[in-house]
Amino acid sequence: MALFGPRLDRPSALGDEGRPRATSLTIASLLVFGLFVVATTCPWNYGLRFDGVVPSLIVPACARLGRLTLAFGTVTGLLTAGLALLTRERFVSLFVGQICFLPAGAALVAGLAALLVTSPAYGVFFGGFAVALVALGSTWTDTTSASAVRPALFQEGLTYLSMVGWGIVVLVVGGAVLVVRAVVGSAGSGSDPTAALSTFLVVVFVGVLSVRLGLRWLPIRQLTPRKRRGAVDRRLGQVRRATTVVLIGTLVAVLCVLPAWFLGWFDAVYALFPPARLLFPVLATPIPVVAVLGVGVVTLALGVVALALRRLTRPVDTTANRLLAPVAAGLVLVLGFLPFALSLIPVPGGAPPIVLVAFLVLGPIALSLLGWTLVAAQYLSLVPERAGGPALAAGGMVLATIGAALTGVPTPLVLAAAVVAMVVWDVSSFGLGVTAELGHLPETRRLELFHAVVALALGAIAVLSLSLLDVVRTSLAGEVAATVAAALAVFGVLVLLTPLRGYVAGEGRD
Amino acid sequence: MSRQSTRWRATVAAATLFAAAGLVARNGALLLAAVVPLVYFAYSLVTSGPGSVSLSVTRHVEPELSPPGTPVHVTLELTNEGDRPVSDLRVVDAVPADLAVTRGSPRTGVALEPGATTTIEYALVARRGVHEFEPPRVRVRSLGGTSVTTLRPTVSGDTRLVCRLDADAPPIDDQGAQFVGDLTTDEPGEGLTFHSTREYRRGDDARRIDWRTYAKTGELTTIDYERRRAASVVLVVDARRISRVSAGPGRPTAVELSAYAATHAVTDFVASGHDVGVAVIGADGPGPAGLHWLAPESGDGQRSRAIDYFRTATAVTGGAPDTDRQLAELLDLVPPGAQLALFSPLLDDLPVEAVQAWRSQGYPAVVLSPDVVTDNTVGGQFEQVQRYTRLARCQATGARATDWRRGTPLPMALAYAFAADARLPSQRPTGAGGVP
Repeated sequence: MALFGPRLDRPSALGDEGRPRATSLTIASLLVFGLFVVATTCPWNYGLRFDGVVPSLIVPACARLGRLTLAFGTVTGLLTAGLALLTRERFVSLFVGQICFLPAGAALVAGLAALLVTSPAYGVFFGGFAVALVALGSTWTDTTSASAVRPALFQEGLTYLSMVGWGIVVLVVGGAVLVVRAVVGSAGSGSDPTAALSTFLVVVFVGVLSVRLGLRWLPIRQLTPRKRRGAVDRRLGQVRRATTVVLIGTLVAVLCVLPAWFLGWFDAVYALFPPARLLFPVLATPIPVVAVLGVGVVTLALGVVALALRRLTRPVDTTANRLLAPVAAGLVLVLGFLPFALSLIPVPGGAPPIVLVAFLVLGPIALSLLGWTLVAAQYLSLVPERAGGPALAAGGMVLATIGAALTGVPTPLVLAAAVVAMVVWDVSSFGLGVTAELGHLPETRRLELFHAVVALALGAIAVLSLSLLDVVRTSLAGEVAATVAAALAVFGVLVLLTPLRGYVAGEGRD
Repeated sequence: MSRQSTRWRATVAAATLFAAAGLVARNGALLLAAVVPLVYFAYSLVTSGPGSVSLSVTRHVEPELSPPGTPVHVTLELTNEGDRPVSDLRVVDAVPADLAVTRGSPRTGVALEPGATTTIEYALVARRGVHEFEPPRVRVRSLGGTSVTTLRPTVSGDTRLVCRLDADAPPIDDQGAQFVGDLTTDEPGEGLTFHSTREYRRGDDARRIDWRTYAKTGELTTIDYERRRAASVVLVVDARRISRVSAGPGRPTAVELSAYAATHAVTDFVASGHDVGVAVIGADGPGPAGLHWLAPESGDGQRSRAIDYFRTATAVTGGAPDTDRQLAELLDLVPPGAQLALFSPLLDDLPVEAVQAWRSQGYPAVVLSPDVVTDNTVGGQFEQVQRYTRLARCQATGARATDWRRGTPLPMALAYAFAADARLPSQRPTGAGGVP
């Protein structure tokens, strides 16, 4: 039972071919997250090394490094949650999935790309952890296969197009408001009362026409209780007749006023009724114009939304939800999230806001490209389909290890990262094998824990031994000589392993 | 049989990547990190040798003899008899293909110390037949998980499950009169329920003399009871193709459940001294119109013949005889005054029409319908509604229609179906389950 919101796991994730056993996956997740927290909060690491371009990008936003961990974890978590929800079929799940997936994914990809450009070592380090965390999260939700990623990417593309479309609509509406404001302002501020009267009549015509159209498309009758539908029908009929009369009246009035204005007949009117010279300019002031036009525009907007919803939800299968959710999410992102996100993101080092806008524009495209690359890699069997999550998580940790070494993290931590990469692959693939062979029903916690403890103990021995070797290396020899010696040692181990493998394999086979 | 896992091959690629990055960046830490994957690789190779595994396996099937539809509990115990621990032992018990596991799992994965025992417990639903358990499939992996050895150990204990229609039917001699044996009439005679008193006649049983009246008046009177009479019951089993369905994989079909219920009923009726006939529709038989037909008789031989026919009904796989003709023929075969008991899942209208025809001819009728419809889908719920409607239509004809829901013990369903009217004293037959 979910604590709140849509559940992230689904029954299909509990099948025999689903994710690895929970115990194995928990161990892998704890190791990666624990190492990430340690690596990003160690004072010896970042406290001394944020002295280039990187601090201007990160440090102002995350004054304390703990916040960086929190922010990174939040973004990867939102990306994973969004990916899981986008494999669903219900509207709410798809909508929430888009709200989570696109902003988080775009921000993560854009941020990592910027980091790779400005500081490649940190880019590799954070990129590796990002891959590992997202891969583990997706493994939990059983969404690492191409069949799960593909629909999410399609929907992400739709949401992006929807955002572009809604952005254009917002711009057009904003421009129209400015034009109306300019026209009304000039008519209201001018001294010609006839122009003000003409403007007001046009405003009334447009406003009433909008109300008439909006009422036609709004499902007022359908939403009314059955017993009151007769009264509502009569009332709507009265409104229709009244709006028709007003439309015809204002049209006739405009047709009469304009010739009279050009022929100068209004001078006689003002002579007969002097207060009209004072009354007409009041009609074109913002209060009556906004009141009349506002009611019309709001009614028309609601009517258009209702009409669009009817058209989009006409298909009874999941296609309607898959179309409607990106459209709604695009509107919400344009109206709510993007200005909010823009206001939160600090401008680093005096970089112009256009850079951030470019990130927001290019981020979703980069996210989509990355996702399709993963799908293509699975189709080309470069990433195993069933064990894609564990493979990506281990690969991410390998990258993080390289990044950690390049950023100057102490050697024991680099070795620990390498051990975590191996253990993540070991326990995850082991847990996946247990799932495939035994399913999710039997209790196998003891078996998994035993395997994990052995792997961790081996890793601990390796870290201790190699750390001691590193101490000897750095104390007895120079940096260059020690590096060459270490390279030769690795090569020697590789050469030694080849006959050993053949011997053991030969012994092992029946 | 052993095989090697290839899941550690990627470690060579990781080591190469670390080494290459370390050389390019002249980073000693990365070069040392390249040793870590190689350590795991070497560890997987060193520990990949097949170990000697000694396991003792015992299986218990409880009960070993059971009727269709009843749960069967299976326990599999594995003990490590060797002197070395088994780090990774995965066991999958070979459940017979025709049976489905309803609770628990026939699989487990453990690490076993020497002398330690692990137990697998699961439950099956019995289906008619003899089901042999193959030896479980046991896989033993090396400490690094690289080497996999598959074993088929010898199993002691129970190796098969026997499911028979009459598995839990006690011998006839042990049966009391439970159902139709209590049928009574308004005629005076032998029985249990008081009917009337009359003047004593020579030869009346002394136990029927009303001694209280004799003490008061000095005249001998004899008590008459409502006479108990043997019924003639024809059990009709619906074995048509449409009824050969089950509620899920590995579960008994509706025909098996019907045959099981009919077996119980015939056992009890025969024990109560009633004449029992059998008709199986929907299967090609030697009788008229392709029926499997046994004319109503009593006795243990009749019971054996009836159970043989029920077994035949459950074993039928093909054939689509003219069931309309069979039902028409059945009406000609049933003796006057007999009671008809239909065992059918009611998945179409034909059984309802048959019951309507029987009732129109004046035959009392009982319908016992095993429920094999799942209601976790919209289609299943719709089918269930239709079935309930058919049960109601049967009831509307005056027949006693009983829904045998899954989980309801058969004796209880039979009691509802056959015994309710009979337990009402001095009640004339009203059509269903009453006195013929």
